[in-house]
Amino acid sequence: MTLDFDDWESDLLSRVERGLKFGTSRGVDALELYITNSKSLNVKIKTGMIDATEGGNIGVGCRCVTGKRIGFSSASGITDSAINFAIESALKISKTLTKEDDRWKNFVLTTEKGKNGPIDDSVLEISNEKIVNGANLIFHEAKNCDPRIISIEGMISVGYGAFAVGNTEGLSKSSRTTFGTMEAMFGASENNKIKSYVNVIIGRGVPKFEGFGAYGAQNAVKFLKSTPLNQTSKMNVLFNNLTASQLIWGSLYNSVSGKSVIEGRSAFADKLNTQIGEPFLTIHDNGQIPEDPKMVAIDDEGFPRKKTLLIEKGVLKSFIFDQYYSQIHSAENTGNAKRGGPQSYESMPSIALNTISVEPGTKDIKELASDIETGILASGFLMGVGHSEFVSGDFSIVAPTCHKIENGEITTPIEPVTIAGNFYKAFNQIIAIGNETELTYRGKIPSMAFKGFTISG
Amino acid sequence: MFDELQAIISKMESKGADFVEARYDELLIRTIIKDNERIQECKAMKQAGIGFNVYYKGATGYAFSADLSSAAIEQSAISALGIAKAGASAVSIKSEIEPLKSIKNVNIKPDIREPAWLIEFDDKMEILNRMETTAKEYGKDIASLKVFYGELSGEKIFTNSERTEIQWYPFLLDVRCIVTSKTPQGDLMSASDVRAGSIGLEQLKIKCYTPEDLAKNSALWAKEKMTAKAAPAGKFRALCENVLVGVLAHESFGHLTEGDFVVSKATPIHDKLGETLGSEYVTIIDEGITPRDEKICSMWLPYDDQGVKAEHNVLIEKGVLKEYLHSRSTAKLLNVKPTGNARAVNFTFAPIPRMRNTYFISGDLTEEEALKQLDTGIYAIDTLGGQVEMDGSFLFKAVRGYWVENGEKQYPLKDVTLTGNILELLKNVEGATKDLVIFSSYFGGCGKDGQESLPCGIGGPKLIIDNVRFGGEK
Repeated sequence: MTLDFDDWESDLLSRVERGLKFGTSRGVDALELYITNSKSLNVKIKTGMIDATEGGNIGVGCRCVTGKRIGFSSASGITDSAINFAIESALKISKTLTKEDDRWKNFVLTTEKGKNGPIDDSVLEISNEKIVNGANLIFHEAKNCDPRIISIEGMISVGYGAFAVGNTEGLSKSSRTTFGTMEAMFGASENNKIKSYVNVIIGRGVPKFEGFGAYGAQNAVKFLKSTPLNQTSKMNVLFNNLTASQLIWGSLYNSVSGKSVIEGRSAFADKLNTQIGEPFLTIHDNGQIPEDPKMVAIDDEGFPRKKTLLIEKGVLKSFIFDQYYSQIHSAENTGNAKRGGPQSYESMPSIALNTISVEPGTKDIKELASDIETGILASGFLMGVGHSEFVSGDFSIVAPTCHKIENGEITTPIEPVTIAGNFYKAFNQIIAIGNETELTYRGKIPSMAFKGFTISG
Repeated sequence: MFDELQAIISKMESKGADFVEARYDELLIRTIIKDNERIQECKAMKQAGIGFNVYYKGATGYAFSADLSSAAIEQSAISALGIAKAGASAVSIKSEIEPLKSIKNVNIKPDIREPAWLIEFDDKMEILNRMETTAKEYGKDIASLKVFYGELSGEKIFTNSERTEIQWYPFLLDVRCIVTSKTPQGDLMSASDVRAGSIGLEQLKIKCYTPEDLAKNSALWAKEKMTAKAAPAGKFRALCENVLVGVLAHESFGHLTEGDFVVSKATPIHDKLGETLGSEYVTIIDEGITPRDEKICSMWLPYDDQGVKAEHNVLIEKGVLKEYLHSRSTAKLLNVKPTGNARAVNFTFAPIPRMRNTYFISGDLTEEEALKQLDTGIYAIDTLGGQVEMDGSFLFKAVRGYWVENGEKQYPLKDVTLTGNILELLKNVEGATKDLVIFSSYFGGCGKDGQESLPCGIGGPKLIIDNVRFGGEK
């Protein structure tokens, strides 16, 4: 029998309760269960091929504490036998360990919850056929847009999910979300030259298929006219909102993590309440943005998701924490416990950014460009941000889709360039911040202009 | 298991399925991570479930179940058929299967002396403790010390509409050390070393590859980086070290040969079979089984996730593009034989064309001769990974390096970024060393279409490449 989505949270909570009872009967000192269930349809767009797959993040992760020795085990599936296997296995590991973690105190224990994001019924109601037809529409729209379009490679993912967390210290909470994302790379070719453009939509409901293919195709074709920059020099760089979101994520990913601070890998470890950026820079980590599919009521160990001020007027105000590191640092838990990967139940909670929001300025992207005499505009997806050395913060990334800025005007497209600098020094190189407020790849981050990065192309 | 799966396959065929593939994966993964001498993570993961890939009138549908009750398994097959039917009317390019001869009674067990999954927990912990002791002995101003142990073992069962029956047992071991040193100016410099692949614990007893050797190398390299300079920006001659060459083979070139990208024309070499793309020093192999020795820690993969034997494939030979990497459906579309490259990271995903062990073959130079031939340029070492775009633009990162003049190392460099277009770069390969190194890991791995961390082998010799663009600070 298929369970109604409205009943998923109570179903998962009852499984948590049964699991905790089983663990208690096995003599655990302390136990935490994270149980997740999700369902999605993922349709690949591959230049006319239709590959549709059912996706799901369905399993259990268990932390078991014996003395102060912590074992973790996971199992795919949410049957009682899977849950009991995870508990038995985690218990065995915790008993096998010989050394206690003297920093361990306790699991999350609070009755507070953040807010769930709105449930978008469109993802519950849409048929598989309509999603497949959406993929088909994107393909034909792009193909018919321009004869130079040779490939469309992407995916539509629409679905819903819920998770529950409980522990033997009394916590029992759940949350749920809906999501609909589209991402596709459009390839254009002319005279043996190939250029591509990536278009992305992120939301909580079924995305609007119409117009997505044409927009991506038109942008791919534009870059067929790109020419080499033919220089290496320090320049001003204007990042559009999608590109700026990747750079800002790179600057915060490791540096504000409470774990990196405590374990000696954060460049900002001793910079709390000091000026680390321009005085017009204010950044929050925000787990409560309603249009964000990641907005849920609790983090992955049951602490309320919230909005945390990271940088205010250029001054570093806070790091982000989960339960373990907040207790070591004697700081407030910020609700940033995250279990990563497509099978989240396989990961122990660790600290991760929720969604970043940068306080917008007043100028649109053209006005930002008008303040730059000479430089480049970088747009789209950057290559290499995720491969950067986040401890030192030195980065050298490639911007595949760029334009020149000449005399304050955005002019001709140029071939890919490398952009080198340092993630942490970049906060002091900001010229201005744009006025966009929409959610993009890494958060609500407007366009941003920087001075003094080394550009080579 | 085979009987139950085949009964369901027959039912789906009676409901109209053109072809059905069924896969049972049961993987057990154990990891221990210590961070600054504390246990950060000690865990066991069980991934067990069944997935069905159903073909219907040119469309495919995939569904799975982690619930191994008969009803749940059958329901996942029904879901897969329903999804395929939903897609059938929208198909412009059909996914179909060319019949293959049925394979029966395949049951391949791993051939290793000391399986990691059989030793006691304390022995695994001891490997990490040994690394910590050595790293502290050789390191300088260590700000952070992380050590990792990971192992994967289990079984894979495959059957399909041809009544093929295959059973085999994947395994991996991964041991690594990362040391971060802090300079007097407060800058943090990291370096790491790893021993990983489808290997037994006996491979950790070989001189130069013991846990102590990994820790010593990590500590000394991090210490050396404390005085390293930023790499210059611009175009230079380069000597790329073996692991970095492996990333070049996999990330910068291998992905471009994957059959799904070829069929959808999302690769710049989709129409270049038989054309010369590189110099005579460029020969790249992709294969499921590479004979192992002390420098070759490849991944062991006898069959892919569509039950096709993992072949030895020459992607590019002396610069000439020879073949692509295929699943059964992409092979059918291009009218070639499947190569055994259809892989899924676990039972929750459908198999798609992926690489296995991908590497450049070796040349005849010693390292000294290669440095001499390099003359002046950048010696780029180890990797933080890389990526490639459909136009051939690539980026890959070296963890460290040296500035070289007149064939002599002058001073160490911090991490460097190599970029450019792969089709131009392959033409500029001027020589290769004779030492071949291959490794495959559990921590890390390949990501594609949402299937992250698929274990793959990468490697090669050291390559001399002219006119490489380095992104760095002016």
